[in-house]
Amino acid sequence: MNRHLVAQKSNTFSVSVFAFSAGVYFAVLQFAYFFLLEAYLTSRSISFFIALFFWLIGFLIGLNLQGHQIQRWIFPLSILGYYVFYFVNVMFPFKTFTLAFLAICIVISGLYPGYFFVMYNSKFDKIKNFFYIENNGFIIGIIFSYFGSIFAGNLFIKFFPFVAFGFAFLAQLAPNTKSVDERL
Amino acid sequence: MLFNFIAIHPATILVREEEQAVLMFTLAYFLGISLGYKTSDKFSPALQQILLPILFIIQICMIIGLPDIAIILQKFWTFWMADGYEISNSTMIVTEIVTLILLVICGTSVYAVFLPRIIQSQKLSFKKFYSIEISGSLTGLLLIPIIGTFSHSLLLTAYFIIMLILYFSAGINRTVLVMLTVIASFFIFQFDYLDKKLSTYYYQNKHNPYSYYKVEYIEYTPYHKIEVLLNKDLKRKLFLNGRIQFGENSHQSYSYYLSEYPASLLTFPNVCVLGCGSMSSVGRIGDLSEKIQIVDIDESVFNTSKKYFGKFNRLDELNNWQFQADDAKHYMANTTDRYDLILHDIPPANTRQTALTYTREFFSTVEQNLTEDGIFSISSLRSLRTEKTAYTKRLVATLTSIFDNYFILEMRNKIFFYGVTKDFSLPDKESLIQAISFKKRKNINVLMKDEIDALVQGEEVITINNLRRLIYE
Repeated sequence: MNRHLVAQKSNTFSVSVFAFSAGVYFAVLQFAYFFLLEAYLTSRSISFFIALFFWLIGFLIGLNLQGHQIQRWIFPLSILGYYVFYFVNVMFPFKTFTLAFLAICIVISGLYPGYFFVMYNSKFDKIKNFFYIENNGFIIGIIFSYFGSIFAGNLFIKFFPFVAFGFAFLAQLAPNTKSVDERL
Repeated sequence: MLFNFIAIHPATILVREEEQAVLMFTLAYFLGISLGYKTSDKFSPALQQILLPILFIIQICMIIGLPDIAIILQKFWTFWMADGYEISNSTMIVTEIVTLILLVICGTSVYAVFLPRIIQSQKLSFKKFYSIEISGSLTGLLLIPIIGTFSHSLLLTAYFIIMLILYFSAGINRTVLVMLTVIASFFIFQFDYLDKKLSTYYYQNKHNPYSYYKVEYIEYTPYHKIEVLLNKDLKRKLFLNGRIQFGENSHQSYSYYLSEYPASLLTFPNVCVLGCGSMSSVGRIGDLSEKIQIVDIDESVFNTSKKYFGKFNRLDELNNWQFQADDAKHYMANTTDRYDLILHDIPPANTRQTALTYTREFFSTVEQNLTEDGIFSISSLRSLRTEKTAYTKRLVATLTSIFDNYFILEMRNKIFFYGVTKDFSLPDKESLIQAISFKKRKNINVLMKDEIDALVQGEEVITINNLRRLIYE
């Protein structure tokens, strides 16, 4: 196997690992928001609609963000947004006004997933492989989140998003996973 | 987005265990998407002409009769095996799960095919097309509360119109498209009729034809598929997501012990009922109470019960009640009112959502909303002494960690727990039995604080951190 081929395979592998771990992170983050709502605010369907609506708004904005410097800000911001909402909820449990914080925080958290898809799709030969790997990570994230919420409750809300972020962050540090813009 | 909302209720009814149903549905939904992504470039135009119409029909079948498909498969299985072969419970469960997963995968994969294929094949801007797709999701999300409020059929209409536009854009043969439009139109116009017929078929085959003679009313909400069923004697039953909530024959004892009995220990109490169901407990205590606050997350359940179970809840003749559509946790944490009697009439802790109202955190909030001589009444329809499950023991252990004083009325397969606040003067055992005015009181055992503590000693207290201890019991 020549050196070029080995390098290409290693590149594909590290980017795939990052796409997968990002999928896990996005699922854990989204489901942690939902469980936080359910446990500390309200289980009313409208709150879930609000959460999902503003997540998608953040996602849409993220899809249209440009510039390689942004990644270093919006990736940590995605987790920061979650913990701001967490602390607001813990300080003011079941208070309806925290829904306003939810809208802001979840838009901030949703920015990175949108940006991620734009920045990393060109690293895959076929776009379907990129979607496929990220979506499989998302499925694993759902399983973690489901059992995390039922088996660990507060521990899930407090730590799982950070742990998932940590894995995605480490995977992103691999040399070949820098976004296209960042390499320019 | 719309498909997710439309298909979740049939899935919940099929699997019956709501929490597992939601997990399986979500997983199957995303597995379907993965399958769509994986096969997106294998979808040749010729294959597309065959597969897309088939997937369309599968989706209609899922929406209208997912539980019925499992019943038919089970019947087929019984026929296939041998005469007299009786289907086992585990085979039934496997059939249901396989039906769900296969159908959901077939139902959702179709959408995932398009995005990567369009971007890849036409070399169009990723950003642009993914933005359009997300805008579509946002529109779908907005349609659910806006259109869904008016009618489920309207939501289905929106869904099928969008789907047909998608098929048109994908270049499906015009004749096939016309046929699909005719099928979808027929389906939408006949939806209410078909839904009632297939629901009746499901309940008759799942239980027995006598008890489930006819489905009288169906309504879809974000939380439930609400159904009112009639038996041959035209007695009504209330079903939420395929689970019975109220039957005319069995409610009397339950509503008496949950509501009337504790109300009779107080003088004209101010009452809060958490969770409404049929609200027969309200009918029981309407004349004994000063004011009754009813709280339920689903206003449609309240409206359905008011209309179909008025004989039992007497809401039309009583005027000392008010209704608040709210989550019990949210309501209890925010209300400034104090109640002499709080009734917990929420379904058992089979899902994460209901289990959160069986935790130490929730009971603590409830206790703070009681007056200083108030009572909290809650039941468990499982025995306290069985070795099979620790559900009731854990529930009682949790309650005893909050209330200073309490007692239990124990029956063969159920218990009623009454937690009292500090100034309530708890009568002795004999007086508590004498206070029972219900006709059947022979087989009732009264347990006082010390006996209860001995029974639940060492049992795990339920908090938000260990909901599994109730959900999986």
